[in-house]
Amino acid sequence: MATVIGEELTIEGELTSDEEISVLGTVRGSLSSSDAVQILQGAVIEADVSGASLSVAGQVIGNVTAQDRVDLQAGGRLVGDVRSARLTIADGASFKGNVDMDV
Amino acid sequence: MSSESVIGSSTHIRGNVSGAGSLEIYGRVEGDVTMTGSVVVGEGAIVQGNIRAEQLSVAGTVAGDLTADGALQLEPGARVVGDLVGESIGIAEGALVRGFVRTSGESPLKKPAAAAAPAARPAAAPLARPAAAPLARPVVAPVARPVAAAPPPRPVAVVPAPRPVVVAPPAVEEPEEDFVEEVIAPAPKPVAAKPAEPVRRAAPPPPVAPALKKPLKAKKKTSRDK
Repeated sequence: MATVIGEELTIEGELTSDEEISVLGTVRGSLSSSDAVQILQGAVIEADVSGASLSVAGQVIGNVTAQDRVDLQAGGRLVGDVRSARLTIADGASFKGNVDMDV
Repeated sequence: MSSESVIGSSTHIRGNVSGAGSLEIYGRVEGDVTMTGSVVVGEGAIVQGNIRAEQLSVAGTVAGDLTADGALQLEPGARVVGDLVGESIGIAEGALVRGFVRTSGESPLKKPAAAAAPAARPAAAPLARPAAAPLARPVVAPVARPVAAAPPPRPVAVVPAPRPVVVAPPAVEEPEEDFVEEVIAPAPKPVAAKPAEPVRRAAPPPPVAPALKKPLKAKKKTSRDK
């Protein structure tokens, strides 16, 4: 069963999972999953994020690690280092940080 | 979907969860959950922390207090160790609860607390009341004090307490003097006698121990010196 963090939900602490996570709300601390992680539009993540794959349409402040790929979508904002074999940055996305594809 | 949140069965949150809208928990949360909407703790979920919500339904395991502004429902299979507070509380057959259960509204906890406070006051009050008692409370005061209030103050305030009590009876009517003398008079004497003896007995022992050690050395020295 997928995990959904609704737009009005705030988690302060450590979130770990083995399933897909969709975030519309706020997470402060750390966020990790062995499955896909979706940071949807309107989400605010002040945490280090790790997942099998990661798509960012919201705002992320923190370092990001993905086993497969990171997709920074239009409107998405990422401030932090990216560590992933594949990275796409869509037109209209904002990004500040280092990229390490040498995984 | 926007205000609906789900914490899946393989998701583990260590920290506090708060917000609005509905939240369904099927995974594990170590921390407090505070929602203005409804919270469902599904079967298989484990929450170690307090949960507060408007509507609260529990079918999983919770180690913490449950507080619902509205309805609080425990489904079959729920396991709760903690206090339950809700405007209305339902506990289904098969639910396990260990804790205090209270429907909110007028708090019954405040009444025992208010009743406990007066009970503590009489213990301290007799010290001040005996002086005023002969003037206004000759009837009620002597009857009530020896039963509940009199015993505690005596050991605490050894000297001052008995005296005002003894002074009070002369002003009281004759039949009450008998009761006062019978009940109160014998009590102070043994109390006064008992503390006096232990004090005398208690005082000597300390010198005994050092007296045995020192004199042995001292006597030898003194005998040699002499």
